[in-house]
Amino acid sequence: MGDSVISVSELTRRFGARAALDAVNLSVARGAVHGLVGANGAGKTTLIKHVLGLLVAERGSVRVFGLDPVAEPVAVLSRIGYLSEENDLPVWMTVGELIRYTRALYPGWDDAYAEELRLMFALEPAARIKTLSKGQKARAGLLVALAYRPELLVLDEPSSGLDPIVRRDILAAVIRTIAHEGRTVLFSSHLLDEVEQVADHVTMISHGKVVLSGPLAALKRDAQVVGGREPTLDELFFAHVGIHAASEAET
Amino acid sequence: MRSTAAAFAWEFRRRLGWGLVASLVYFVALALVQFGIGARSPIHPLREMTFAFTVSIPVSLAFMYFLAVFSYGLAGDLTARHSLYPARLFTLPITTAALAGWPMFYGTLTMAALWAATALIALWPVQAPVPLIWPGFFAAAFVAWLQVVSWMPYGLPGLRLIAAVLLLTTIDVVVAVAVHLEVRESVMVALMVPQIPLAYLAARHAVGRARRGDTPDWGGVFVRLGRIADAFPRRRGPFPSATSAQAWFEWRQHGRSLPGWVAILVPFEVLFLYVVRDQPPVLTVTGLVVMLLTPPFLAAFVAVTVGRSSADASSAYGLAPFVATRPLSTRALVAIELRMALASTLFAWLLVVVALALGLALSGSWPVVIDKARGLADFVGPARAIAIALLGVLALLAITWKQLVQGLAIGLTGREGLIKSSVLGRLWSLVMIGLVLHLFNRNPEFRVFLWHSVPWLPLVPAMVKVGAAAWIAGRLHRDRLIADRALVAAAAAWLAAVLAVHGALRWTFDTPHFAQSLLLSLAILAVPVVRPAAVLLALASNRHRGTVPPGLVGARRPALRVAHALLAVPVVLAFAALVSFQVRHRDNGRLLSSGLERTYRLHVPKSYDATRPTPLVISMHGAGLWAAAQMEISRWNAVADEQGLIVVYPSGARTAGPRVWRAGQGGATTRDVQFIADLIDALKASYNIDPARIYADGLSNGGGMAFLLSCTLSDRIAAVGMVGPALFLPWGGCQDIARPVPMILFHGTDERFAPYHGGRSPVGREHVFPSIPSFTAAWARRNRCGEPVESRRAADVTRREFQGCADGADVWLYTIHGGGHTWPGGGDLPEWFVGRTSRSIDASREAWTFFQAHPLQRPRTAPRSGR
Repeated sequence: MGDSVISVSELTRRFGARAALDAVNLSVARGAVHGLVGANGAGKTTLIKHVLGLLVAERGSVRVFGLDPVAEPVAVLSRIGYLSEENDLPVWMTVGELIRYTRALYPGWDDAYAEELRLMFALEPAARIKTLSKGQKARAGLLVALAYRPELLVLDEPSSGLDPIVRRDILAAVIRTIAHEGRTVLFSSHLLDEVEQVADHVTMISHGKVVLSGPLAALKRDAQVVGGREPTLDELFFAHVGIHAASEAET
Repeated sequence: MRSTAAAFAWEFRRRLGWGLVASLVYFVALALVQFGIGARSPIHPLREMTFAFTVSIPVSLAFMYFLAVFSYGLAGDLTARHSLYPARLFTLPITTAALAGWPMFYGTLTMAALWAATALIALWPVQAPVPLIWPGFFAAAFVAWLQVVSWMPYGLPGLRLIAAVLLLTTIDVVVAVAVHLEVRESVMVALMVPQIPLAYLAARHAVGRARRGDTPDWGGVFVRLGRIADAFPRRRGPFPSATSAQAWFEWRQHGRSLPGWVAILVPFEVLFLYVVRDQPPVLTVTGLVVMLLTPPFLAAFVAVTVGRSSADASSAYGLAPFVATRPLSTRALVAIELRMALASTLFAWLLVVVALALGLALSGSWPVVIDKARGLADFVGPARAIAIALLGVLALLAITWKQLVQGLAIGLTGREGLIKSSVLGRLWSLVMIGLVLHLFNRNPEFRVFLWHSVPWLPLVPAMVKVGAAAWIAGRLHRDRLIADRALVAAAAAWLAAVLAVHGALRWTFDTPHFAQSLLLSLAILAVPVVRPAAVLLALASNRHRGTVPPGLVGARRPALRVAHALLAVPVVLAFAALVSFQVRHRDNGRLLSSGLERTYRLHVPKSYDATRPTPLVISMHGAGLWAAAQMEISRWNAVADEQGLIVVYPSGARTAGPRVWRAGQGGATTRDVQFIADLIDALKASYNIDPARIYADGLSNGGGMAFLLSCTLSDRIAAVGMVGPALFLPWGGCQDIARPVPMILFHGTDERFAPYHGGRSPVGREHVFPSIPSFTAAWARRNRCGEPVESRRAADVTRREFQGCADGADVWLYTIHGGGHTWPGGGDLPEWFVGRTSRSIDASREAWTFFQAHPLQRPRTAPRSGR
């Protein structure tokens, strides 16, 4: 693909004897909303960590904006907004301090947009992160990942932290805005209906292997018709990954 | 599993795992050695070194390991606020009493068993003078209290470590006091036994609190204190740059820990200084030393958790993605961390300086400090006193900073095992330091060995350091973490800094006592390189985890070779300097005297003819010097070659300290006098020595020794010479001599170690030196000389000759006007230290002229006794 924001080829990663990623290929086009789905432990977070340069490719290559994220972390990371699965914001900061700190690191920071997001997420600047609920922490994390209008937004399991209101209304709206502006989103989730709502491209991972990847519409179209209609992502997942993995995912 | 007790037992057995097996194997092996080999037990506590390596070290290692396991210290974050008791056990249907009780029961039992095994196998068979019972209870009480410390939730992160350190220190003190006072076994048992139920109650309370999530948080107070501690005004506006934002982040996250802890501890130290103000000064000195050691000591513990983003998280040792994904280069992050460590260090020391001033004022010790400073300034001069003070301050700052940076390097690896073992290792070294000091104190051979290894001792770690630096440079280069130019520049900057520090040390300590190689090794050790480089390596490997694949690896380029060469330069220089020094300064003769191996440096002229009796000069070195140094200072070899005499430079005895001659009074002097007598015998046996022409001279302490020989070996030594003699033997101690001994003496008027006009000096504060003119006059009276004749030998030298003495035993005094504690016409000595060396005369040649005119004569008259 000519205009790939992320291009991963033949990426392999082992933790001990277990292959967390096995010859994975992934291409995320500019402007796409790309969903990464798979059961817990399928390798989604490991793949994302490679994209961020937090893990060194054992075999294969990872390019983000055409650059190696390990060799050129500053050039890559300054263009990525990232919300981690773990809630690892420094707990001693206030929301105001978090904004002030993050602002200095990203030249493209948009004060007006940050303020708009803060109001939307109902975050008090004086509130210490330590005192926030899990959902509020995730909102704060999302705020500082969005406010500099990154070219690529990477969300690792956002559903696990965000409360249903933010998930359903805000996250979807934010993602649509980003896509509309021609920027790119890569997000991982094990909640398939959520991915189906916002993603236009989907990559399915199982046991470190890509089992299905492409535009969601095409994947559905090419799949076998279920009861006279196109299959849902759920049904596609079951068909490719199997009952066992799916039941794991649901738990 | 049938019961709670069995379940806990099973779990601890699994946790101990190989450690338990290793301990059992060790004790079986120890028993085999102790009981299996012959009737005589080879491992005895009075054979310190053997005992240390076979018993003390392995048992104390096992002790620390068991402590870590039974306190659950290996499972959690030692610095966290929350209890280290595993939370998973809280939901079990077991009472809190059982949760606290069973681990304590097994812990105390295991510790008691560990001591019992040690006592039965290592101590009891040899009827060692060590108590057999109470240490077992003591070990049990120790683990019980450490469990309390581990399981208690705290209000501040890091408080647990401080509590553990206090506990370990208290225990060390209790043992030391008990051993010192030889407290009865029964008293100690009575003291130790109640500790266990008390600790159990405390542990039950701790586990109870942890179980209901009752972890106090004094963070609010700390945050307010921290705001005061912020040296900088709190900025509200945006940060000017990404680096300044990150610097703020690091300072707020970790930078305040060290100043914070120092701020908590120093008020108590100030209070201590105030409380002991009327007590013996040793307590004040101890208080001051403790205060000065506070920042480096705390720094060793505070920095290890630095890789974590949250001080509350229990197991987040890896670099938090929040930090790892900041768009800053790893090098920039490291530079910020290192600067933060520097700010932390400076701030902590600022607090100590303020506390120090306050403590000195409150305890009224300012006059003592000012007096000491004045004494130092008088001794080495104001410039060097300032240099020594500056070097001291820099050393304290550098040690603190390096401890912090080392903590960073370990913490930023994110390897839990490494982080925990480094903390446990440091705690263990706290326990071991007592043993090492004891060994040092008890074992004279060890002390002698250590003293004489001083030139080598710093060179070995210096070599290890440079080796480690070279390895890290290779890794940084291979993983392309540092550009070629930066690598070479860093190595060159390090080399320049080492040479600069060496220059400063050389200038400050410019005396023959400090070898070049020693100062260079110290400079290598002082200038940091490994720790900061390790921080870069650690952060890079933690931020981008995984092995760099061959494709990414940079080829070995010339830059690395250049960097390696630059790093190697000082250590090669130090090694070469040491080897060349050792070769040039080694003694070339040895003999056994009074049961000691004694050495000397012998010079036989080429013109020596075994058929002709040859004169012998024995030239003795000053205090703290050695034979070859005396050879270089006196330049007797040149005279020997011209005049055809043999010269021997004996070395003072090899002891755990500088080589000195026991030239005072009493039985202690026999050793060295006997050595010179034996040396004369040995040389006579090998060479054709003219028995009538044996002379002794020496510098300073060696001159004092020549005086002693004139009293004790006057039947063998024809005449003596002294240069700036340090006279510790009182005149009255040299009365019953067999004959009048001719004497030549050289002394400078600006002599400050053995003052020309007598009195006290910096080298023997308790001793009053005699006035040199009076001493000479007394000698002349004893030799029944006539009135002295004064003559000028040079612009700065006058000679007072007492002539017409009995048996021709003339007495000459050369006064060097403005001369120092030096050998006139001899080798250069640092003027700042010993004063001016006169070049107008050559003391060795003048002495030889005098000696030639005074061969040994059988006494015709007895010397006059007394003054």
